[in-house]
This record gives sequence, structure tokens and C-alpha cells, in this order.
Amino acid sequence: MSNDQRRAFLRQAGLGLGGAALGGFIPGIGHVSAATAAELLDPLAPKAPQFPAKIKSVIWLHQNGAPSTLDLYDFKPDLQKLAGQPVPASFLKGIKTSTQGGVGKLYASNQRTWKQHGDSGAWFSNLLPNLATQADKLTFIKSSTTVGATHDISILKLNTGDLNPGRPSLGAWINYALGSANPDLPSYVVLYNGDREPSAGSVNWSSGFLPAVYQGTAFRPGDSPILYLERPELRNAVQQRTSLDLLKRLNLIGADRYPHDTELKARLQSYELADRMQAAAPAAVDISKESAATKELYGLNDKTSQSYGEVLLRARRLVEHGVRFVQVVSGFPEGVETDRQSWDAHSELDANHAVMARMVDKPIAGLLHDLKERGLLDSTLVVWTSEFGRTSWGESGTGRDHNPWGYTQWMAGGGLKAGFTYGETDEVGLQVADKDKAVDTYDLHATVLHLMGLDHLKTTFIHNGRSERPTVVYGKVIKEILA
Amino acid sequence: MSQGARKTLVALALLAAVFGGVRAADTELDMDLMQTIEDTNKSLASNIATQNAPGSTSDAKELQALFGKVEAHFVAKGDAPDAVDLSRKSRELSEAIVKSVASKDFGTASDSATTLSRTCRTCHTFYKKS
Amino acid sequence: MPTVADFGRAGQKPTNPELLDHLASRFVANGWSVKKLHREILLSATYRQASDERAEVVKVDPENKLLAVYPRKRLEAEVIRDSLLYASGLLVDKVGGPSVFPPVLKVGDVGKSQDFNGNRAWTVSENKEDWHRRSIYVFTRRSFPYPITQNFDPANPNNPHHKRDVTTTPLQALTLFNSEVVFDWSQALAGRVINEAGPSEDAQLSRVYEILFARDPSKAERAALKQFLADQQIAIRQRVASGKFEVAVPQGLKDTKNYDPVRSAAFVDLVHTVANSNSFAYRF
Repeated sequence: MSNDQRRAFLRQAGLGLGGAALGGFIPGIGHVSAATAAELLDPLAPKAPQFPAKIKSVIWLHQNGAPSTLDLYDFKPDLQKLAGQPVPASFLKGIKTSTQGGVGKLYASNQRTWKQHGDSGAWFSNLLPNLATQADKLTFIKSSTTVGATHDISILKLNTGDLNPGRPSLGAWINYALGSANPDLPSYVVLYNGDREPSAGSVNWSSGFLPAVYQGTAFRPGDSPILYLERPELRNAVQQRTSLDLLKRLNLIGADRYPHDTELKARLQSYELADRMQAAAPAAVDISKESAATKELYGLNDKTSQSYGEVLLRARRLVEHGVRFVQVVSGFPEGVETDRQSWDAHSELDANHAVMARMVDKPIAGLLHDLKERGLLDSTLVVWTSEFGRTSWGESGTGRDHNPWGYTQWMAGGGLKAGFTYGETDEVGLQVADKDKAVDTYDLHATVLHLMGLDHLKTTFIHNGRSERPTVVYGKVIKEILA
Repeated sequence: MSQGARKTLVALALLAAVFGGVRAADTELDMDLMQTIEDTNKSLASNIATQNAPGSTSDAKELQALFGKVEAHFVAKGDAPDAVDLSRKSRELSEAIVKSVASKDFGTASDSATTLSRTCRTCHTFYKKS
Repeated sequence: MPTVADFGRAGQKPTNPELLDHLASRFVANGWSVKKLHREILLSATYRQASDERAEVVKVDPENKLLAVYPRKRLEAEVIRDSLLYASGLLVDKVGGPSVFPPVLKVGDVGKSQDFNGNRAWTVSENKEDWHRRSIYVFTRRSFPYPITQNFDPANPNNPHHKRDVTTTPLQALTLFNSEVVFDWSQALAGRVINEAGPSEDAQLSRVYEILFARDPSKAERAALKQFLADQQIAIRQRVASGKFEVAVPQGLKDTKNYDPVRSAAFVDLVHTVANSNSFAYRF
């Protein structure tokens, strides 16, 4: 609902802070505009989905840097056979390649072995032994496609649906459409491991043209996820409360001159949320009291997987506390020698993926197992996603270049056909085999929204006189993978 | 280069940059035409979403005409049968949207519009230069 | 120009190409002087407009693409920190020298991870002067960005930037409101105000607004502030009565004759709150 629509609705419904409040008078503050009064009602109040939802929370596991799914899930015996040869022209039809130095010869690592797992017979390489045990929980999308030659713009498209900044991320749309299930925590949280913030930047959890209050909040990795959570020692709780009340009054007086400015209101909201977080957040992110068995399950005892495991354990706890969208951006293990600090293996893929796969393998397997054990898997959606895949031809001899024409992603959780694979790539794993089964990022978004009880076509926001939706002008729910 | 000539050159370069790149040779499709199609398509999606019948109809009719031009271009080119098919399909989808809107079936119109957008991308995979 | 990183085909068209041309040709004519271009823009009627919303403008041009009002801006990360330091009189305006490591926490230790040579991510500078240098001198460690500025969307040192993000998060609220490092600055600012305005409450309120916002508080604001001082003193007295004598008082007070710690502590809270308000964080 736009601000105008909401105001009209409120006026008609006679809601507000005492009948006089709508565009009227608030005791202690004086006269305020209608917009201010409307926004005093909570923009993050929970809203019902458009139809019954299958899931309540999403854990979006963005594998930053683009892993080679040809070395993880997409077993291509023909690629092994043809390795070392130039790419046959038939496979290159219809794509524009831009590899530096030209398209190399097909590449397959000789360190890769493949096996089928579970009742579903899903293929996993030797790089993911733990995740392989969860094979029957996964719904593979082996015909993923997207656009883009560079990480930043493709990551932006993956998260916000456009190659240019300015649109809200998927988490922001969900936050807008469904509101918060827990008023004491941000309902859209961004987590990452490694020692630096995700390189693609905060535009990937931005609220875009939606009101600023719907953006994601990033929590730091490590021991103090939320710095400055405690108030200063010399200020007691009563002082804190009265100061915040004064802040609210001052800000409202100021905001009256800018009734359409949602950012000013969002800032006011952020102080209130910060205050509530002081009480609620420590419990939510504290993993020290988890059992030793759980810590082992998430790979916390292995240096390579420890930081990612901690992040996923936090993610589970946040979901338990009602956070709607947890965006996890993979980093890299601390203290481990890696040439590239992400999955982006343009060279030396074996060395890179040995580390990166080990970083995520146990934690993700642990997360899936743990969610199932706690009865949360049916109401949660876990998504393995990346900005693109990697090419079948080698780069610099031992790496792979970017491949937006056919790669693998997977989802797991409520409302899906578990142990199922949708779509496939061609014999060498380069392009989607059947173009009609191609799953673009918009289709992924449409499907996630559908599972949350939202029709992507009807989740709209009027911006600049135009109706906008998460999937821009595209998007198709992949009905074949729904249970 | 003289001051005057340089000034003119700089001004021209600035103008060119400002107006979105030098026009390519005339065997290429006009980029402004494509931009107009994209803008109209976005407007169409919005109008269908808000069930604005006159707006949707006008957008869809304009797309029909624009895709007609695209189709003619590729027919004249002669060596691009896929593009001819795709632009014809786009033209037909636009026409279908006009009909859906006329019978107040915005659901079907919405689906057709989404299919239309996908058609744009399919064609671009083969026929967009950048 | 909505896409300042791309003036070409992939970008959007400028809203006023004639104006862009005009400025560009004058820029060249003025010998490519950036200073003169700045002058021209800053002295223009457009730039000097107020930022108040105008209902008729919002209707027609909700994104203010045609600059009918001044586009209010959130202060950039470094500006927020520097302005607070400057207002409180703590800023050390020394130019040049090696980068500095101001404290992240008043009490406690962060930045413990080490590199291969055993150097910590963050070792706080011993020289206290270094704590109050301008933000541009703060060490930029990619693995450990300085949180007080980091939370306010500084430029990511890994990438070139054409524009700063502006996010609004509870982490920012926590940083400005709860960080003891920032609270210290408010204590110093409170001290400065009392020193300069004297004992009169009205004069003090005016002086705070004069320092922070270059204006007087409005009637509504003044009323709110006075009410707060009265209420806050009651709250603090209750705290003191229950045995907790430590309160946060203004720093650097020159005249301690009429010193009332309870009232002073309330004033510190007031100053801190005003520094957290939107009026400070935004340039209107």
C-alpha cells in the first residue's frame, strides 16, 4: 500500500491515536500532518500473506564468487571424456563469450570423483561429503540462468532483480509485504563470515524505492555481532527511556516539514528498534550455550568451517526468533591460505574449492539436519544460490570462467518436492539443455515469494506513479518443484 | 588543435555522451526504438497491475506497432529467421493483451505481459550487441 | 543525472541536458577550474533553496528530479564523526602524518585477530590526540573497518564509488546513542555549552542549538527540552537515591560554583539526545 492509500484507509477506518490524531493533534506534540500520524502506526506490523504460506522464514545462502557447480552437483561424464579438447561449436551456439584470452579447452579436474546419494540418487562430488548425506532434502534447479559478466552486477540482479542499483532486495520486498514476526529484532538480517563485509556492498540488502525501514541489517561475524548493544554504564534504563522519548518528540517536530520523507521516519523507527534489540538480540545470536553435539554438527570444531558454521547456527536461532529473511553471504575461512577470498576460481580451482567446499559442507548439512530435527524445516526455506556458475572450459589452465547460461542452485524446506531435480544443462554442463525450463533469478524470486504466500504479480508498490513488483516485468513460479 | 576546434570537439563529445552514445550504422536496429519498447513494456506492466484499462490498451497498441517495425527490420535483413519469429510472437502477444484488457481479463493480460518480457530476453541472447 | 557512474548508453538520460551542456561549456571556458564550477553551483538559486516539502512539487515530481527543493542529505559517515568532534571542541585539526587508531570501545578490546606477522587488526593509538583527529586520518583496515564510521555507509575501500549508499539501521542508532566513545563527546559538548552560555537554562538550550544547527530551538522544541530536563532530573535523583552515585557529567567545566551534578547529568543526556536527532544527521 502506498502512503496515500494507507492514509486514506486509516482515515476511513477511523484508526489512529485517538480520533483526533489523523492529520490532527497529538497531545504533547501538537499538530501533526496526516502522514506523520499514519506512520506512527507500525510499518513493520505483521501482515497476512495473500494465500496460505508454506514457509515462514527464508535462509538465503548466497555463495559469493560463484562456485563451479560442475564440480559439486552437476555430474557430466561427457565433460570428463572431452576434457582437454576445444569446445565443440555446437555447444557455443547462442552465447556470447568474453573470457580473457579466448575460450579455452574443456576442463575437468582429475581430483573429482562422483557418486549418487540417497533414495533420490542425486549426484554429489567428493567435495561435499556431508551435504551429500542430506541429498533427499534438496530440490535441485539444474537449469539456472542469469545475465552478467561481472560479479557485482550479477549479484545485484540476484538480490534485487536489476543490473543497476535502486531496486529493493528480495528480503526487503518480503519485509514490506509480510512485516515483522518479532518486534524486538530486525526482521531482515544479513550475516556473513570472513573478516570483511561482502564486497558487493549494502545495495544487496537495500530497500530500494520501498520505505527505508524495510532494508536489511547486517550483523558482524565473531564474538560481538552487534557492537554498542549495551547502553553506557552511567545511563540507567529510565534515563535511556526518557532520552529516547525526547528524541522521538524532536524528530517528529522536525519530520512535520517533510511528510513524505520515509527515511526520516525510518531513522526514528531505528532508535526504537535498537532499544528493543538491546534486550532481545543477545539471546538470539548467542551460540555459546548450544550443545557440544550441535557445535560439532555445524562444523565449529574445524578451523575451515568454523566461521561459516557459527553464522549458520546464528541463522537457525534467528529463524527460531521469527526473523523472516536471513541473507547469508559466504566469505572465506580466517587464518587459511587462499588465493581468492571467495568461490571465484578463475585459476587453481582445485585448491580454491577444496577450501571453500570444506568451509560450507558441514555447516549447511548441519543446518538442514538441525532444522529437520527441531521441526523447523517444514516452515523454513533454505536456498543455495550464486550470481552465476562456471564454464565448462578452463581458464588459466586450472580454473573456470563465469557461466550465466546454465548452472545449479537448490532449495530445501516447506512446500517443495524434496529429493527432486528440475531441468538440466547440456552434455558438457555449459548451457541449459531445454530453454523452456530455464530458471532465471526472477523465477527463483517468484517461487520463493509463492512459498511465502505471496503472488509476485500482486506484491506491488506504487513508485513514481508506477506499480512496481519484485520481479520487475518477468517471473514465473516453477510449479513443477512445488509439492 | 586550435582552442576553437578543441572546444567544439569537447562540446560534441559531451553532447554525444549525454545523448547516449554515437548512433550506430543504419543496418543496426535503432537503440532508441528498443529503449522505447522497454519503457513502454514497464509502463504496460504497471498499468495492468493497477487494472488501468485505457493505459494498458494504449501501451499494448504501441508495442504492437513497435514490434511491427522490428519484425520488418529483420525480414528486410533476410538472414535472421529467429528474430523474425520472436518479433512476430511479440507483436502477437501485444495484440492478445489488447484483447484481454478489452474483456477485463487482467490476469491473462498479466501472464501474456510476463511472457512478452521473456521473449525480449530470448531475442537479446542472440541479437543484442552488448 | 540519475546514473552518475554511466553517462553512456547503459545509463539513464540526464533530466536537463541543456543545463549540463551549459555548465560543461562554462567549465571549459573558465579554464577547467573546479573551484569556479563549485562557486557557480553553490551560489545558484537552485542550490540555495530550502528543503521543505512543497505539496504541489511532491505531486508532480516526487523524486525531486528537477530540484525544485533542496534535496536533503544524510551526512556522510566521516562528516557525522567530525562534526560531533568539532562541536564538542575535541577535534584536533592537525594536518598530515600517519594514520591513527581511535578507540572502538571505551572499555574492552576488539580487533584482536592477527596477521601473519602478529600485528593486531586494531591497536588503539597511545597518543590521545590521535583519538580526535579527523576521520580521514583513521586507519582503513579492510578486515576491520572502524565501526563508528563503518555503520554510516563509508566508501567500501575495495571498490571505486560514484555515490555513497545511505542506509538507516538500528546499528546506527546503537552506535550514536549507546557507544560510550560517542557519549564521551556529548559530555564534552555539554561542558562547552555550559562554559560558553553560563548558568541560565534558556541560554544553554539556545547555545546547544546554535552550535549544532546554527539556529534557535523552536517554541515546540524548547518546550520539549525544558520538560525533558525536569523529568530527567527526577529520574537521575531516583538513581542516586538508590545508591548509584555515578552519573555522566559534563567534561571540562570551568565554573564549578553552582554545580549541581544531577542537573548537569540531565543536561548531558539532553545534549546527547539532540546530537542524535535527525536535525543533526541530515543537512536540510
